[in-house]
Amino acid sequence: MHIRHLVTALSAVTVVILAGCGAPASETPEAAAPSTLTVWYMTGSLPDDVAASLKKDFEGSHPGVTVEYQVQQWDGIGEKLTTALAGDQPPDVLEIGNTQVAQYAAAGGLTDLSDAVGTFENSDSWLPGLAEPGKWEGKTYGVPFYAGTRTVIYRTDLFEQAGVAVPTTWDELLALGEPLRAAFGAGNPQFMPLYLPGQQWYTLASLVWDEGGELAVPAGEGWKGALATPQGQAGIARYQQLYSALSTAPADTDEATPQQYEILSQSGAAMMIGLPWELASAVEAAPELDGKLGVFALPSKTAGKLAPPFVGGSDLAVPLGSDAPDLAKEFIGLVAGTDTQTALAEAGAIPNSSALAGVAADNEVLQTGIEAAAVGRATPVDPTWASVETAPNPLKDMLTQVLQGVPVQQAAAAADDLITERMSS
Amino acid sequence: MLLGWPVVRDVAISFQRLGLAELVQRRTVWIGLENYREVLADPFFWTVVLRTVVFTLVNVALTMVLGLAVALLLAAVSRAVQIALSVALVLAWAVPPISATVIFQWLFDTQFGIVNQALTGLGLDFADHSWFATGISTFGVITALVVWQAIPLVALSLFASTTAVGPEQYEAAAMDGAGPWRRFTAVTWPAIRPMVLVLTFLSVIWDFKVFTQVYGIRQGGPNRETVTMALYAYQQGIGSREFGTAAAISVIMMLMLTAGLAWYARLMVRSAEDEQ
Amino acid sequence: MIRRRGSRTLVNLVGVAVALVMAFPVYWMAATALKPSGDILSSTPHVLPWPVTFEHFQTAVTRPFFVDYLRNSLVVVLAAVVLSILTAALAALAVARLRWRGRRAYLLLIILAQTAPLEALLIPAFLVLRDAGLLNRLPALVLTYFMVTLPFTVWTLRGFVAAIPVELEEAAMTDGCTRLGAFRRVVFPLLAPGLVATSVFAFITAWNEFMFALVIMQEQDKLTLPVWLATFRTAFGTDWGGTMAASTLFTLPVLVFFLLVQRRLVSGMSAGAVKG
Repeated sequence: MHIRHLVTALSAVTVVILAGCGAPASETPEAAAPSTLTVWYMTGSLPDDVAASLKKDFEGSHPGVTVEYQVQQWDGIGEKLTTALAGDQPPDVLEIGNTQVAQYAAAGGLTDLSDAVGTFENSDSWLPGLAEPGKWEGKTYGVPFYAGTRTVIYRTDLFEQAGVAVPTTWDELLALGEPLRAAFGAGNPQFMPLYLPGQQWYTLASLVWDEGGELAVPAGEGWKGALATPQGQAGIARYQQLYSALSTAPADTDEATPQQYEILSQSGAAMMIGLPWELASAVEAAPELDGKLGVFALPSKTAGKLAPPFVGGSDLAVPLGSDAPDLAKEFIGLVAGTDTQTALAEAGAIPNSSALAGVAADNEVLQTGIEAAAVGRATPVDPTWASVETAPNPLKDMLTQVLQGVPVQQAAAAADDLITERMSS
Repeated sequence: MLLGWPVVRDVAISFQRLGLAELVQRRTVWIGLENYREVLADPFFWTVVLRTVVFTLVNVALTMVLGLAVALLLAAVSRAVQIALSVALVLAWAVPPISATVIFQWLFDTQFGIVNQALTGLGLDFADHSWFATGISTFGVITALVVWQAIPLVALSLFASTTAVGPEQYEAAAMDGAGPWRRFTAVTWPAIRPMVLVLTFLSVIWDFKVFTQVYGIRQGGPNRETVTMALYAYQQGIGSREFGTAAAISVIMMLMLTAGLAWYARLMVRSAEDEQ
Repeated sequence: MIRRRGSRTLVNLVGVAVALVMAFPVYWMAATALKPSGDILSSTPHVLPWPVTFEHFQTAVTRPFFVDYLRNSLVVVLAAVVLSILTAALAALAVARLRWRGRRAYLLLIILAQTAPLEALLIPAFLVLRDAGLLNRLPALVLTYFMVTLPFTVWTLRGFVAAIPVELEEAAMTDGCTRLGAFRRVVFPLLAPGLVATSVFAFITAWNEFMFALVIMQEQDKLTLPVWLATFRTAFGTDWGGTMAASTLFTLPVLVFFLLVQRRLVSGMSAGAVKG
């Protein structure tokens, strides 16, 4: 026997054997049967008890249907979603970051949910920061799931010891530096009033919007970066001002490395700009901080107003290849409805509708977030925006450059070029 | 044919427009050389090519020189030190690149990294020094990481080759009055030369297309200054969902590597023929 | 004599220093994993992990699906390595011992396949598997790692086969063995170090792979350990203690494997290179 033929034969046989024995009958794909509803959500989006009761309710009202959850991780999520939508067995319900919906909708990967919008509770009062990015060419593809808005999280104990009050204007915020440093800087040379790393671009977006600027504006067929406009530059200058007045955090890192709540919990800073879960994590890391953390929204340059925060969060969508789109819509209705949203709010998420603002009246942290979210904004709604956020994010690089001394005008223009290039593809 | 299949598919894709929409809707759109034209017209691409070539040369040179030095060291030290050193080498070798990348990020962390703390402890002003502020400095960390992980293979393989040389050969050379350098060039080098060639060949391939370490450290930052070709292919192609572009860049990479190694590959294929 | 002893001590000291430098990152990984969170993010370095805590290890192994990931990784990687080595041994024999048309092209294809950047093959491989209807099945992952590691294993083993004197085989064949019998009785045992060396490389490549697993496998309980490692790095930050503990655990199997085969590995490497 010719060896070469043997090689081919052997590898073919092995593959067949493997293919035959590797997938036990008990694991046959359920997605083939429409009686299973596969739901993907990001890690941390649904607290375990809320997920369990959703499953119980839905299965109870739909006999024969099984809800199966798949919890997704952040690393490689873009590739994961892309190939899932292009694959043979896409899930039935999908959580997608609000700024990412447009690209998947434009590619024809999602089901048009416009008809069903009317049937969803509170759809007339959905937060614009979630609902707008969920639309593409006038049709709704993403249903608001929950929002996340960054506010200033501060140490009430440190504020008390330093004898300072919660700032209500931009200038008051900047003026916190001196008394806080005087009170704690001597004992800890690394102490900073506000932990603001150089690359927190969400805060930059907020300040640019506060100045009346935009990150990018439509131009002809595509978009172009708008950071070098007077408003854009003013926003960048505000970030610079905030950083130099209150922060000595590294200019070239973002809030994730190290996780900023760890700095706060170790008294390395008196404030950080973060999400509600970061507050919870700080308490978890240092239980003695329970009850010693407060929040306030980032003040606007206009007294009495808030700087429009970046509204992060997620939408729920139905892949076009789902074999149970009607069940999927019903399930989304349940998640987006008042009951689940109330449960999510109790767990600390900002609900998807301004009509539900009252559910957290007794929760100061959440209440502040909800009020801020009402004036919040999202990034430009366009399929190409997602590629701007892809590493290396030009907004982050620009901030680092500016903080390291590159003139604002020059760095902003360079970032604009990159944004324009990425949004033109 | 099995092993070439995805590569063949990759070449085919490089002549297609394959974005998110085409992928999801399972459409095949042939666009000829459009992807190549786009890539070659991007001035940044040429910066990346030059950078990748320099990066590869520096890393391969450092790997081979340091690896050889450690191999000779292994041959010179006492038995106990030899074992300790081998174990240390195996430790560094065994760490999976994903983990190694995380470790180096942590070692060189601006605020809490042990490297800054140690240098500050030595009286140098490295408190809150950022190793990732410039492209050069970031490349320094990446090179340290890549070379650190590549030294063990080179050192242990070359050490094994040197053990093939009998002590009598060194004694004979010493009798002829040969100094250390002469002994190295006359006795050691001929014994390890084939191994050096193989390792250089492999290192060039590995370092040219290195991805995990470069991407993991800073995603090509700061300011795209550490984007190498593998990252460029990933970011231009897969990150922006232009899979045809990614395929074109990867084909260009394969051609460059093959051309660069052609002389060597011919040598290898020919020696394979001669073995008949 | 005294001078020689002095220089020997110096050489040993250098050897120890190099060993410490090579091993330090690995030590620091394990040490960080054993420290309480408060000691990790500290401006004064704690060189020794004291007080010791196993909390990070505990968090790491109690993550959901850890056991599934571990099992999947072991099954998939071992299956792929065995498959790859067996096929490669036969293919290596074919290219090193037999003359057939297209052999030269085959060798070139193997070299070419090694130059392909893995990241760029993600989408082509996905499409190939989608067309074959194999998505979301562990055998598909085995097949992928098999294909990814095959060019390297064939190439390396070819060197080893070539290093075995053809006369041995011929002697066996004149004694009445078939070519296959000669291969099994004579070549295979001599090939053992080469098989070990090659399988280590295949093992590391497959053990580390993250993106293919993530994309090909849809259900979370069918993913592999690198995915678990990634759960400590979220969009919101890195849990250093958890990451280091997970990295330590992730490195252990490779380390054990390495230490077990180290001696054979090195001798295998040098044997293969002689005729490489």
